[in-house]
Amino acid sequence: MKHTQELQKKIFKQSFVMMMGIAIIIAIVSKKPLPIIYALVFGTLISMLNFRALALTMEKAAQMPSAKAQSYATRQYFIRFTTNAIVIFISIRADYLNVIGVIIGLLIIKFVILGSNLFDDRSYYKRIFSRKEEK
Amino acid sequence: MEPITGKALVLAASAIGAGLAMIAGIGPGIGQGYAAGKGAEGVGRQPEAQGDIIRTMLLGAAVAETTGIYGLIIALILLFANPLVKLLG
Repeated sequence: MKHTQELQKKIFKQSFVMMMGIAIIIAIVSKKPLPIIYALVFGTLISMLNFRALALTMEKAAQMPSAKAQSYATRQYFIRFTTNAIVIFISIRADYLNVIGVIIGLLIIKFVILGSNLFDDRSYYKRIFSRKEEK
Repeated sequence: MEPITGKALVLAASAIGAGLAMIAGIGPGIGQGYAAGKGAEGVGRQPEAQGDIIRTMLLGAAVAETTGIYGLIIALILLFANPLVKLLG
């Protein structure tokens, strides 16, 4: 369990900061900000819990034999997928939650991961524009 | 026999579209399982690299889930909050 503890904390913190930033921008720009902000908080919290569930799954799967790990990870994925489906369904049905807000909240954690682990590296941008023959 | 109305046609097409969109949810599941299996193999082969393997696997799996969520959103919006039906009036 200890292998991903620090990584999880870092990503949760960054997601929270990003959520707060988006919520403040929405509060300033939108005429009716409350449903969007509620939805954003709801979506972000669910995505954080899903990420925690994913971390626990991966840590457990790494200790299993290969074939067992494969089926275990797939089964757990479909459980998280169902959770996401229920959350989006609730946001569509409930008037006090904005669907777009929930979707942004669910995807915030992915943007944080991409931003903090892939797009923060300058050599990544250099590699995009450099030709393979160049050394 | 009653003629097919525009609304019925849109609803039928939306149901088919939602079904097709849900196919997107299967891919990440298979991929994540495959990655977890290979990760477990890697940990077995090189136990001292366990931390690195799990961290990389976790980040990859979290990003891989995104496409599944996109498909799910499209399917649920087509089924329960279809914007095309409102266009018909």
